[in-house]
Amino acid sequence: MIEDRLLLYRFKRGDADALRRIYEKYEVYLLTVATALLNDMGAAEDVLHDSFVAFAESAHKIRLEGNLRSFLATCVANRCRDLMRKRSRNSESLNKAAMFTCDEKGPEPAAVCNERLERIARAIALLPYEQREVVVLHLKAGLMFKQIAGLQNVSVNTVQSRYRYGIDKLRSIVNGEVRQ
Amino acid sequence: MTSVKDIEQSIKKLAVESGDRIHSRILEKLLRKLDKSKRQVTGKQANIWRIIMNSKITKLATVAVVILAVVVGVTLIDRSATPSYAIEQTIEAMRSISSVRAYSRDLEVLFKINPETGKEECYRVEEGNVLTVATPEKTYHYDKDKNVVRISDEYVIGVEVRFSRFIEDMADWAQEHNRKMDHRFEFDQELQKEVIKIHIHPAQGNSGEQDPMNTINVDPMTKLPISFGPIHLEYNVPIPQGSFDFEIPDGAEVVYE
Repeated sequence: MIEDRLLLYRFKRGDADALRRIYEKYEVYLLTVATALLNDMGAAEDVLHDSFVAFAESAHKIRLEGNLRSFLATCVANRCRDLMRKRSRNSESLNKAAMFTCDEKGPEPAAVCNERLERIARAIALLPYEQREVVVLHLKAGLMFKQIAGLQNVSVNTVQSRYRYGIDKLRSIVNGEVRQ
Repeated sequence: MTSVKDIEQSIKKLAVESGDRIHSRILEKLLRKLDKSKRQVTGKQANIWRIIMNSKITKLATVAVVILAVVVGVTLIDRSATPSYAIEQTIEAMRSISSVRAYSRDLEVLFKINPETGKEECYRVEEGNVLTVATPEKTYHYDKDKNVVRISDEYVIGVEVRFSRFIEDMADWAQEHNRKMDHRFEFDQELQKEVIKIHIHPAQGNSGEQDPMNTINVDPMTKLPISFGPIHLEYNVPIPQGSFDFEIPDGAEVVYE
C-alpha cells in the first residue's frame, strides 16, 4: 500500500520507472480480472492495454480515494462492461477460450487444478454479466461490496444478492445441476 | 460435490499468464505515452503539483487512535507472537512527531509536521538535481540542471503518505481489506540491530511474492518505525534554520505558475 502511494507520487511527477513498476506489479492481476469478466484473453489484453494507456495519459487527473489496486481494477471493470455492452449491441460473442493457469507444483496436481479452474471459468462465463461482475470483482479483484455497488450504481443489498445468486448458480453449474 | 467455499477459493486462485509479447507491447506504448505527456506538460508544472494530493488525511485524523486501539488489538495483531509489544504503542509514539526525515539512496525529504493532525506543514525535498521547498504560502521547484525555478502561490502537498501517521493508515487499510497484520522481533541484517517487523500479509488467495514495502521495521526502544523497503525514517530531527527558506539563485530563470 505504502509502496503504491510512493509509486503513484513518483508516477505523477513523470517517473517512467514508477509507471513500469505499477504496470508490472498489477499486470497479471488485472489481466486475470479482465479475462474472467470477458472470457476472452484477446479482448482482456485489449482492455488491459486501453486501461493502462488511459491511466498513463491521465496521470495529472488521478485522485486516489482508496488504494491503487482497487482503482485499476475499477478502471478495467468499467472498460469490460463497456465492451460487453458494445458487443451485445453488435451481437458479437466474447466466449472465446480463456486460459487460466494453476501454480500447483507437479504435473498431476497442476493438471487437476487446471481442469477445476477451466470448469469454474466456463461456469463464470455462463453467469449473467451483473452477477459475474460482482463475483469476479469481489473474489478475484478483492473489491468490497460497497465499492462494487458504486461501480454498478446499485445498492449494497443488490450487490450482495447478485453475489449470492451468482455463487449459487456457479455451484449448480459446476456440480452439473444446471444444464449448460 | 463442489462446495461454495471451494468455488470461492478457486476463483481467488484464477490467474492467467501474460506473455512477453503483450507485456512488451503495452509497456512500450505506456512509456511512450508518458514521455509524450511529460513533454506536453513541461510548461504546466503547477498543474502537476496540484494533483499531488493527500487523500487519506482528514477522515482518519481524529477518531483513528481510539478505534484502532480497540479494533486492531482484537482482530489484526497476532499478540501471541510478542506480548511485549502492541501496535498501539507505535501509534501512540507517532502522535508526538513534529518532524520527519525520510531518505533513501536518491531521495531526501524533511517534513515539518503538525502533531495535532499528522499533516505536513512544510517540506523540503532533494531528489537528484531537483529541489522542492514548500511553505504554507508558496512552493518552489528548482531544477538545478536547467537552472529554472518554478514558483506556485500555494502549498502543494508533497506525498500521499502521511509519514507521521502511516502505521495508523496502514492498520486502517488492512482492516478495511481484511488483511492480517502481525509482528515479530528479528535481527535485521541491513540495519544491524534487532527490530520489530510489522508485517502485512498478502490478500487471501494471493500467494504472490511478498512485497518488501509491506514490512515495516520498528525500533524496539522508541517504538517508532525506522524503515520500510528502501526508505529510512528519523523523527523529531532538529530542523536546520532556513530549511524552508528558498532564495532564487543568481541567473536562474523564474517561472510563476
